Amino acid sequence: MTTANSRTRYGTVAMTLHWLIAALVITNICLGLYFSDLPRSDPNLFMLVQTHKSIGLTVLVLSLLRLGWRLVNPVPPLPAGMSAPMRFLAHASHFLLYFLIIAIPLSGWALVSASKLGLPTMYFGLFQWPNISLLSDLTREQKGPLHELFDNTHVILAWSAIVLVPIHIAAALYHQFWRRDDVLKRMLPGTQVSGTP
Amino acid sequence: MKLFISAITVFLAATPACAAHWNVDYAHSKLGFTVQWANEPFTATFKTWKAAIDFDPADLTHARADVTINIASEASDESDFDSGLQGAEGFAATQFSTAHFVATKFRQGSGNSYTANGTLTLKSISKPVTLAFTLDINAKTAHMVGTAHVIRTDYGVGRGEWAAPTPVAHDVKVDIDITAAQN
Repeated sequence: MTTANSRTRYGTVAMTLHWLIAALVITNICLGLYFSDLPRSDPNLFMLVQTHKSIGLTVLVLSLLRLGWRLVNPVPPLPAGMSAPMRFLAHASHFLLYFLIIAIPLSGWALVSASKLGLPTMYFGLFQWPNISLLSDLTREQKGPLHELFDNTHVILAWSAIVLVPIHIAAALYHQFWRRDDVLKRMLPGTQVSGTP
Repeated sequence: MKLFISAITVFLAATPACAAHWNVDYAHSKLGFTVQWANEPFTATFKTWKAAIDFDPADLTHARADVTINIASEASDESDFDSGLQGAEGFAATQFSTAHFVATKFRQGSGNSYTANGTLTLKSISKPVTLAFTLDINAKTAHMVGTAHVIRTDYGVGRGEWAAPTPVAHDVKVDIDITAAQN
């Protein structure tokens, strides 16, 4: 196993980023769905929101690293036997997933920055994560509609991920158990893949 | 009968202090506060409060103000702020429904300005508070405009994530504007 991607499988950097982001995204979707139903008076709400924000910002940083790594380090090509429509769907869903893992935390950061309450974001209690000053410097009156816009955007994008992630998982299982190719294995550490892509 | 007459005498003797009693015209009076919240001031008012005021500029030793404020009547332009303010981490309005201010020590400054030293009880915590005000009396009508500064954390207003001086400053300016009439 190598650090970089090869023609047949993903390297350790891409695999680490993939599984780390996957775990964090799933955790944050669960956290978000859970605390959005809590009453504002719930004593754990603040801690849950701070954790959600910290995880989301981690996803943002890791996703940008992952995008950068992908740009300089081409991913293994799709199996040769896939039809053109399937290839299109695979590329489109991967593009959307990349878009979401960057846009969801960005919209979250924007909605927090445009919050009228102005509570600081403490990154895992370690340090204060800055707000987007372009938004946080606005007046309450200006923040109101922007906060609502980013809040709605965040929720719509999050629900897109809630739909797309199971499709992504189903597609991986389809490759593994139906097509019996190496698409899933090449993202799994410690697996052997056949020489040809 | 003798007892009755002495009771009357005592009552009459006590009257001079009562003569300086003022009835607040609540429709033309306001009690509220302003605090720096993030990068702009946040202002709210209390819609329900009662003030019993005995005040004669010529007899400050008998002056007295007793104000009871209904905490849940706090309202601002930001309804989501109000619910947070009245919640457990703020005023805890369901547990501490009223705030109470009593002032008995009044001093005259220059012209129509005065200071009143009193005690504010909020969330069952009592601390001294100084109210600076101006007073204009026209015949039977008085107009009083006063301010006091209160450190909110002295009273445990703002717990948990709200305890820090950001985004909500610790210094809260209380504004009171009273129009009152004498009997």
